[in-house]
Amino acid sequence: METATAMRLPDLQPPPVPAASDDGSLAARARDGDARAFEQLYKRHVARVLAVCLRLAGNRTLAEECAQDAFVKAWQSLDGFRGDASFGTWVHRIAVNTVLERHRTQLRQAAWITSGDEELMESVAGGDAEPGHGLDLEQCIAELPPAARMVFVLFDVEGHSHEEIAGMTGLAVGTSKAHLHRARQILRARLEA
Amino acid sequence: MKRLAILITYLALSLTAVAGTFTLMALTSSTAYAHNHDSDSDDDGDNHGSRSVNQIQPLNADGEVRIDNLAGSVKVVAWDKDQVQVTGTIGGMVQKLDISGDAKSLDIRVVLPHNVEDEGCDACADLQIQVPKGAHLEVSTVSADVEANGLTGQVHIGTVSGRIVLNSSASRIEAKTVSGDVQVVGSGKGASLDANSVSGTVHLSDVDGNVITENVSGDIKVMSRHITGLKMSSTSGNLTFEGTPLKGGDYNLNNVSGDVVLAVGSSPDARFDVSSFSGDIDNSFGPKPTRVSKYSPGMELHFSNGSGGASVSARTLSGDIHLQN
Amino acid sequence: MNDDKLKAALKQLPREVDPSRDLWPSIEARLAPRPRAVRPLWAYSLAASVLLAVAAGALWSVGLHHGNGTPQTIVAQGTSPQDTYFAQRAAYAEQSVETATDLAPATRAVILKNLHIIESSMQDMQGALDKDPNNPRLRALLFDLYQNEARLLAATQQAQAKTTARNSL
Repeated sequence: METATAMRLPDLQPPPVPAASDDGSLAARARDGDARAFEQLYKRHVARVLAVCLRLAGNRTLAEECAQDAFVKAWQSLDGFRGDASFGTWVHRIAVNTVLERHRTQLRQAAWITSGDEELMESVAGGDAEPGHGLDLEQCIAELPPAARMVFVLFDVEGHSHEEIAGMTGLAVGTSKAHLHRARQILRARLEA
Repeated sequence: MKRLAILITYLALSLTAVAGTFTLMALTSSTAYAHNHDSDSDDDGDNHGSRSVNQIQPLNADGEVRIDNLAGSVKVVAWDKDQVQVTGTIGGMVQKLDISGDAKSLDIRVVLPHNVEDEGCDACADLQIQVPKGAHLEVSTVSADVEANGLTGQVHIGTVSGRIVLNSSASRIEAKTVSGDVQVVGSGKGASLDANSVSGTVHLSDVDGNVITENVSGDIKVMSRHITGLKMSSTSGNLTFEGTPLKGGDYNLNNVSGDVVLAVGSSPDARFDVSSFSGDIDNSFGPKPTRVSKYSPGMELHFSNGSGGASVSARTLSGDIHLQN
Repeated sequence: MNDDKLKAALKQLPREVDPSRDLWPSIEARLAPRPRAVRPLWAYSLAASVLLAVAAGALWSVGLHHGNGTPQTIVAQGTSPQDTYFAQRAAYAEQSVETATDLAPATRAVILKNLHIIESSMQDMQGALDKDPNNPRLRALLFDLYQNEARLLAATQQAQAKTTARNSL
């Protein structure tokens, strides 16, 4: 058996079996200018897109704006959609980037948290957490500090690695880990009550 | 046997999908949009000889203008009127200049017949377009060069081999080429700027705000004292940042085999995180780099200057990194 | 530890959330008209290559799964899986450029040349990671390379679509 590579190589997958339902052909028609076809794609994928926007943004109004922006961007970028990922995955990625773009300032400010950082140490000690009210997880996520929320959602909800999160957000890998740690600490404290 | 069944299923489904796609493509009719003016209604595809154009359309001060011209040139100039004026010449092979849309959103397209082979520039159009200065501008070309001056809204320009020159105070700027050069001078305050090429050179100067710029083999040079966030990335081209790292700002320069030059003044207020796997690092102010280990060629340099208010990182695989005054 | 509570709550998170109102009208109002692509040659050759790729993929996956189900590629003895991975990745990327048949020759040459630059940089990067596998800066650089490659392939497709689209209205 060959030694495993130390890093995770992205998959070079065999082409997928073409599905009987036709996201792909709807996308082809949309690429040709068919707005009705694009509306079908919107209907199929808006709920998933909104879920990720909502959790990343923590605010419904902003999330719905970003979801709209994502579909508009998807329409504009259809020429670049090659159909090797599914349309859902592709528009989902656009949506994530849209929300992250809106939070550039907060992400930039959060970039240099190190283990010596006072703010982080305070929250680890539980200073940040309010007494829990048995609130649901969605609400708790929405109330996390912005960078911690985004890292938590990208890692624990969306399943990205810290390297990927670093690439998407501009945070260093270590900083991403620190924010994740902080988010989990706060959430556990709040769910405890 | 099972694998053969899988193979047959793959082929059957793919044939069905392909056949379905053909049928859908054949049957699809795209949504119709109103077309307002043609500059030439003769569409027999013959060479009409070069013609001049002059069209005016109303456009809201913050309206959208989209310009499609494959070859030739596009020059956009901002003005104060709530109008778009298109002047210039279109080549003999050009079918027509099509302008459609309404006061919210205009589409300006140079229409060529099917299968035109562009020998010389009969298929070119050289257009000068005046637009409201707050307009949202999008330009898409293949080989046409694009120049845009004086805009304050948003500017999105994409070419394949055309050159992009942009002088503006726009709030959002996107300039992308494959082999063309990109030159951006100025931006609005706190702007968001995205400038990419593959083999062309990218020069950004006097921009203010957040900058993302990527290249593969072309060089990138960014010169500005007002950048609040910077991400520069190349594979074999050289990266140069001449400017001032600002407090709270994040400046990342990543390269593989190309060099990185950081000319950030003699006493920048920043934390530096500089490393190269096998390239050299030299620092003309502050501490000298150290070897990562005596067994590997890698060098690194981590230090803080002043109060360390900004964070600057430069990383390469084999390219050299130079920190200069 | 509250790990279980958090994990359990995460499992319950719904994958989808309905909008508070229909967002389509606002989206539709912002959709600029798209140029209609010329269908014939480009579409047929794309569909044909999809067909070939699926067939090849099916054959590939038929051959791929041996005994314990771990995917292995059929390679000559003595080739490392990494070499094969990069060779396949390069072939896959180059094939995408090949299907962009309408690009000007000069543009195609630039794209292929830069693709080679990226592919060979990936190999160099892999060599470095072999020596220093947990180096986060190297991983970040590699991720940048993947993004650069994806960007290049997307730009190729866009360039192809632009060059092909001869609108006849």
